[in-house]
Amino acid sequence: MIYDFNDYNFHVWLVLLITVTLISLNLIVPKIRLNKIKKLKKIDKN
Amino acid sequence: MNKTFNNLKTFYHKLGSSPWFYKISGITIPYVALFSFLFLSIGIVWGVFFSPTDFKQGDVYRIIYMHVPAASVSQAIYYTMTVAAVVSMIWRMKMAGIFIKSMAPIGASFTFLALISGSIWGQPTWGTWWIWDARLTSTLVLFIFYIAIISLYSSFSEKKSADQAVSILTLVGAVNLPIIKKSVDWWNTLHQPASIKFTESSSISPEMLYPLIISIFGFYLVVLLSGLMAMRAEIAKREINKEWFKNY
Repeated sequence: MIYDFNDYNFHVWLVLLITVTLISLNLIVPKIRLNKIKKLKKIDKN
Repeated sequence: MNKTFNNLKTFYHKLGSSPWFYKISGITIPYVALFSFLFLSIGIVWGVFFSPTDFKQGDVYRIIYMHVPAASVSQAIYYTMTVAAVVSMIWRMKMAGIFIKSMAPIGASFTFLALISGSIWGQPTWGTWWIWDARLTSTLVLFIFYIAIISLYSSFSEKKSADQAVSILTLVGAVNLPIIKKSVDWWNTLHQPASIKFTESSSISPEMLYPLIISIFGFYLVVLLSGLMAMRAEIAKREINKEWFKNY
């Protein structure tokens, strides 16, 4: 049987939320860091 | 045979070049992103929403599709960091230091995910959020090592000394890896032994196993993606004043 959406399972949804948050952070943080350095490089060039 | 060895040698030397790595990673990142998104979404959606309900645990077992991949990558990251630490110690390769520095926060986050998801899973199945079981404790030690590596790195202002100190600490922490792996066999633990086995048949039903394998593969691709991105940011930070980076 597939997941029953009427039978709300707090534990599964909580883990899913933490997983998505952590994976997103792992991707967003280096992206922001690199963009900041690229901006500095541009300022330096000008 | 000789040609393959020479090609591998050339590739190894190229890996040591930060401009080459910066360029190649820039080209590969979009493809890795596409495949990691594909595998991760298929694995998790299939596992969490479409795999059969467990007859004993009900729906709560679906945490497995995030917990097992997170635990697997958390150890795999440390294994690769150990190899990088050896390279950094012997050949003083700059990229090995950059690798350890970039991978440690990723490893820490996935170890944290393995611990927290295990804890959330343990509450309805074991009746407790935490127990000082050998597998749980050794994984907590792994998390502490990741945090110690990050902290030690930030306590140095000079990158070369930081790379060397962090490499030593990484090698010390590697002792914990076989302990995590064998903890469920060596001690009588509440944590179950491995469900997926490569040498004998797995104790998990195929309908549940296939999405789990896809999810694990997706997690490895996400680690590769975040590792490439973090290394690019670290290279840019260290080489901001270098001529090649200014002209890139």
